[in-house]
Formats: sequence, C-alpha cells, structure tokens
Amino acid sequence: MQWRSGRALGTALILLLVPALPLQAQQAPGNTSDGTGGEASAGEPLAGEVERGRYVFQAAGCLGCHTDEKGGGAPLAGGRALTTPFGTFYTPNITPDPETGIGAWSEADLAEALRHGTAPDGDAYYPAFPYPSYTGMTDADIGDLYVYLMAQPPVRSENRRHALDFPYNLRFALGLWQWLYLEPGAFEPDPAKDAAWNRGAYLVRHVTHCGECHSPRGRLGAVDHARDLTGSPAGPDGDRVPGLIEDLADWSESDIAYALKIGMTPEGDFLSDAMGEVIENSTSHLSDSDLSAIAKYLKGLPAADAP
Amino acid sequence: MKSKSVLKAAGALAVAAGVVLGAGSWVQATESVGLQIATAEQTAAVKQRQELMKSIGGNAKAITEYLKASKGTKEEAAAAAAKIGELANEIPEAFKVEASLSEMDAVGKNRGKPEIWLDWEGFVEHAEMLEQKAVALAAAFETDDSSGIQAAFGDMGKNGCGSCHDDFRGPKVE
Repeated sequence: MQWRSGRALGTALILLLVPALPLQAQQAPGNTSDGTGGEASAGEPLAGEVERGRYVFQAAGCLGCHTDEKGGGAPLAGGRALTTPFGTFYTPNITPDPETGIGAWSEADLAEALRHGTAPDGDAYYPAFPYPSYTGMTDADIGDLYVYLMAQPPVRSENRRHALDFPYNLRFALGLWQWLYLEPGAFEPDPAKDAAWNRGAYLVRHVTHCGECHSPRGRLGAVDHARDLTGSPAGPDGDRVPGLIEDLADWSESDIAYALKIGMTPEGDFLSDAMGEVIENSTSHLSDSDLSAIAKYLKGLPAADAP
Repeated sequence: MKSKSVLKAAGALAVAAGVVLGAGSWVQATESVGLQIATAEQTAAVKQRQELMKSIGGNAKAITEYLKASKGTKEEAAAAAAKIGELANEIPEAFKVEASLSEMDAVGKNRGKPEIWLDWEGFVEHAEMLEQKAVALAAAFETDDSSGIQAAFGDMGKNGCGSCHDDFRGPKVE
C-alpha cells in the first residue's frame, strides 16, 4: 500500500511538473498476427465487412457511451456525460461527419486511437475511453469496425469539453499517464488453452472490456490489474460493481451465457441499470459460441489473492 | 435595587434561552431518531413486499431453469408465468405504506427508492406492465415457438422487471 500511494503521489507530482514526453518512438506499430481472435465471430461467418463490423461494434459496446440517449442525442453523435471521481467526461461524436465526427479519419487513425489512445492530431485521450482494453484488438476487427462506422449516417454535432477537476484537466499530462499505465500490444493466445478459452480471453480483456467497470481502479484511474475482475467499490455513477470471479462462484457457464444473452440471472433477478444497458447494446447481440467462450474464460479465472 | 433587577432579568433570559436551546436540540434529536426507526407498520410492510418480490423472482427462476436447462415441465413454466401475472397485481397494495431506503436504511435491506411514492402513478403503471408481459409469456408457452417464448421472457424481464428496477430500486444492500 505504501509503495502504491508513494507511486501515486510521485506520479501526481510528475503530472504537474513535466510536459508530455514523445511517446510514439517507443510504441511498436500495431502489426498483429493474431491467432484465435481474428474472426469476428468464430464459427459463424458473417456476410461482408459492414456486417462483421457491426458485430465488432456491438461486442465493443461503442453505442452506449457515444450516444446521449437521455438527452435525445443522435446515435454515435456523443455528448453523454460520464461522471467519475475526476470530473465529468462528455463522450465525442464518432459519426462519420468530417468536421465534428471522425469522417476524416483513416483506418490507421482509428487503430491508433483504439490501441494507443492517441487522436489524429497527436493529443492523448483520457482513459475514460477504454483504449487500455481495446489496445489488444486485432487488425481484422479494427478494419471491419472502421468500415461499419464509416457506413453510419454522419451527424454534425460539436464535441463538448470535459469538465474535469484540477489536476486532471491538464491534458498534456496524459502522455505520462499512458507511459506509466498503458500496456499496448496485441492479444497473445495461450497455446496451453483451447480456442474457446482464447476467444473468451480476447473478448473479455480487449473487446467487451469487462474489466473497465468490474475491476478496481487506482488513484489515477488506472485499472488495478493485480485485482482484475474482482469488482469495484465505485463504478459508473458511483455504484458498487460486483466482481466476476468470487461473486459468480455459484454460477455455471450456462448461467453466465444466459444472463449475458437475455439479462436473467440464475436467481430470477433481471439485470438492470448499467449492466442492463450493456446487455441490451452489446452482449445480447453476441453469438452463442462467443457467449459460451466468455463464460468459459470467466469460470476459468483463479480466485484472486487476498488483498 | 436596580442592579439586582438587571441581574434577575439577565438570569431569566439565560434560563429562557437555555430552555429554548434545549427544547430545540431535543426536537432535533427526536426528529433524527424518527427518521431511522421504522414503525411496526413500516417494518411489516417492507418485509411483506420483499416476500412478494422474492416470490416473483422464484417464479422467474423456475422459468429460467426450464428455458436454460429444461428443468421441470413446460406446463410448470407456463404456470409460473401466470403466477407472476397474479403477483404483479399485488404490487401496488404491497407498496402502499411509504417506507423508502432514504429513511429506512436500518430496516431489512430496503431497496425501495423514494421515487416510488413521488411517482406513484408511474410505479403502478410499471406493475401493470409486468402483469401484461407475464400474461403474454404465459400465452407464448401455449405455442411451440421456442424463440417466441425466449423473446417473451426477455421482454418481460426487460420491460416488466428491469425498467421498474431502473427507476425505483436502489443498489443492493450488503
């Protein structure tokens, strides 16, 4: 604990004092030769890039955060407020409008944003955008996603500035945050495990990004990977988020897959609120084989070490 | 003489102020205690509505097990759906006594939000929605359309259970 808080304090000081370092040099380009994760939907070939891209888009859960549903905003036009301990983030427009959205982006720009959290103009993104998870996405998935996004109706809607507390509003410091916490790199399948486990691992860790809400975060907002998927005392909107290891000890693989498919838990409770939204926008659209793969991966996770 | 009466007046004032202050803090104390201690009526009501919700959940569980693992018979699952419809009818009556989590957090893991009583009509509409969706699910069980049954169950879960919980149920109490 002392080491952790010491590091956090040191980081905060660095964040305040040092301008962004050039980061690109040390990051390898995202050339991935992927194993099991390459197909958008294992065993179920989808027709055309747009359809495959829609599947990736749903698995990655882009719609929920990039749409201000409560405010009646157009799909993907952004503007949804995400309340965090660091302040309020307003999600950006990811429709293909060339001026206010991502219409001018190349596929490489999208890959750079997803893998390294870097905008085309070189600015770093806040990790409210879950690129620390998306960083492991395959070339094929990102390529399909790009085609899908560019096929959506463009909406002209200016991005709203985040309303963050000091010192988190110092955007230049994000480069350092990324240097400290971002671990870019393609998903590496575990050859000791079968294809379903590896597919589940790829989805959970990188695409469906479960750990972004179901894992605790440190003082500077980075997911604490030593306690991955053990739950979070304060997830989105400050509510406690259950873990996916010990909290699901009594669930079978089919319980998990069924809950992700229609939302009903084995206890007969229906998942609502934030998870209800995830199920509606994302997991209910996944193939049965992908849901089984996710369940298999989660049930194979070892119980966490005592903190 | 004069100075004595001044002293007396001051003493009287001090006593009066003390009484007022004391009474004030006594009132405050009872008010704050009153917010936390439920009446017997409230405690009984919270318990009863929790039993009702558990009963609905138990029937939903039976349907889940039938659809997922073919536990039990289709007739039993259909009966469970019809039962949820009947239980949904009891929801408004069971929630008549106002006792929300904001004032009752010491009592029985109460998760009912104050919005239930602030938007009573909306709450009752949700209960009616659950009844309709449960009746529709029971009707779906009369058919052999398994994807239609799954869809009706998902619809009941989302629009009968989930939408009401989103608006009117607070976070889980550990």
